[in-house]
Amino acid sequence: MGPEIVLESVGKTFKSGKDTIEVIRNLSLSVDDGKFLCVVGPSGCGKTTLLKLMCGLLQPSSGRVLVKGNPPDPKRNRFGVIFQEDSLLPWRNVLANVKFGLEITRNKTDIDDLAREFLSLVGLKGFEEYYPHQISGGMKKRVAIARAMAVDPEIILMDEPFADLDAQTRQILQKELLAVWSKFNKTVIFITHNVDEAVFLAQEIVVLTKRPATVKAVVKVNLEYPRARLSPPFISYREKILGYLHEEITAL
Amino acid sequence: MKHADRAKSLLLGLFSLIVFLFLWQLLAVWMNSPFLPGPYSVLTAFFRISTAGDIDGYTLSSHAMTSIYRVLLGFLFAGMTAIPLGIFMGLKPSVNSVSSPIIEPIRFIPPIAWIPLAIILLGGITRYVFLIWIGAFFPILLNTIAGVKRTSAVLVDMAKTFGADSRTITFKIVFPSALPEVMSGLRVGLGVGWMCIVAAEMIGGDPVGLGRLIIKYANLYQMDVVILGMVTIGIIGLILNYAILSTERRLFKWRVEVRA
Repeated sequence: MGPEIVLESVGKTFKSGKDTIEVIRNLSLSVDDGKFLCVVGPSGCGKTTLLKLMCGLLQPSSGRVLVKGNPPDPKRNRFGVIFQEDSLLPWRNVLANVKFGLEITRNKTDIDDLAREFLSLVGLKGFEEYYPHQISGGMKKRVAIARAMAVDPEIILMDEPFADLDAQTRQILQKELLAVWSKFNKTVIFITHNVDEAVFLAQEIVVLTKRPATVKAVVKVNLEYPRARLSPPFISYREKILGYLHEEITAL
Repeated sequence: MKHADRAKSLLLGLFSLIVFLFLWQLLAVWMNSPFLPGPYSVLTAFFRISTAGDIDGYTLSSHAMTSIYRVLLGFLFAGMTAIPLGIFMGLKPSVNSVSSPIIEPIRFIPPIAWIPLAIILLGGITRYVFLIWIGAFFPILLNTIAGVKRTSAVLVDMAKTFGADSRTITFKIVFPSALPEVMSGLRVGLGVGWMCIVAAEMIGGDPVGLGRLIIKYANLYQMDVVILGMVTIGIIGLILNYAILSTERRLFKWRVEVRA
């Protein structure tokens, strides 16, 4: 199994009026197939930009992004992207929202059953007819996960998906995400600013520097799942990552 | 609780209507002028015109149906032109900047100012349809553009990550998310169109239409029928507005604001 995603000295700048803002500089990274990778970094360092580069929503200003050897193209690759913001279509009910991705990627015949199957996988059986404004933030995230998983994605990209949720819901969804991941064994890129979350979820953690972002450190987390948050190795991993981040923040 | 509130506000509305009609009747009796008929005379005029017809033999319902038909036809054309153009202009800022020097000044010409041109250049039903179109077009266009521009970037990104092409994005993301604005544009457009038709009919040649009814009886100084025409216009306008509003409520269950 070769690397699924490769970034070769990627740079990204944005123009804002007369100024150019350099968000990412000379960032190299490779992610193996089936890995659960977390990306952490100081807030505003360009994590979301990195994710958009990986799924082809943005093009790099310099360097190369390769997914299975080619530049990412959502029309060819299948991505399952979970956004930080609420990305459900408010005019569609829960079931129709899960069907949205399938309508694009599949022929229309079997999508109803598939959508129902993935809804029950995320524990939302019985909520098919509800509209997004009638369900909680945690349930909306579950619908988004079901929608992304239903298209059988090659890669799952998650941009601080649980950041807006309360601590309890966040921990429940983290456990459910791990269950789904171990069942389907997909490559997951999970962006977060929450170190605890990263150590709980990831096989590998990429720490980014402050803007312009590049890789500060890559930490392999050699802990068995499910991980205990209070165990000494868990805490020492946390301290290590926090230490890296602290250097970046004080360097501001 | 909710039901009781509604019944209460309905009762209150009915009460104020009765008070208004009573004061109007009182004023008519007190002035005792043939030029200010009270609600009772208007009611008798209603029965007279509805059954026996006006001086040319047209009944009230045929006047009303003719006006409604003209308005709906013009309104349909306005929707068919303004919605696609609005989506296009909203999606492509370059189109917007090319077309706005033409559209912006035209927008401020009141539909009534087009009447002479319409009368000279157009004939028959096209004359009315054109005027309704002019009146209804801009509210629909501007609302559609605004709705399209308000489309959430996250939803568009989300669709792109599934590999959606621009056609899919337009029809499955942009249009449904702009639809509430489009509908309120349609509602305003229909209202403006309805008001234009009356002005157009007053000047246009056909002997039938609510505007024509008013002019015919104004020339005869029969104010009871004039007021009957005015009231009919008001009530039909109200019904048309309500029809769109209730469509909006049904369509946009997902929008919390509309249900209030």
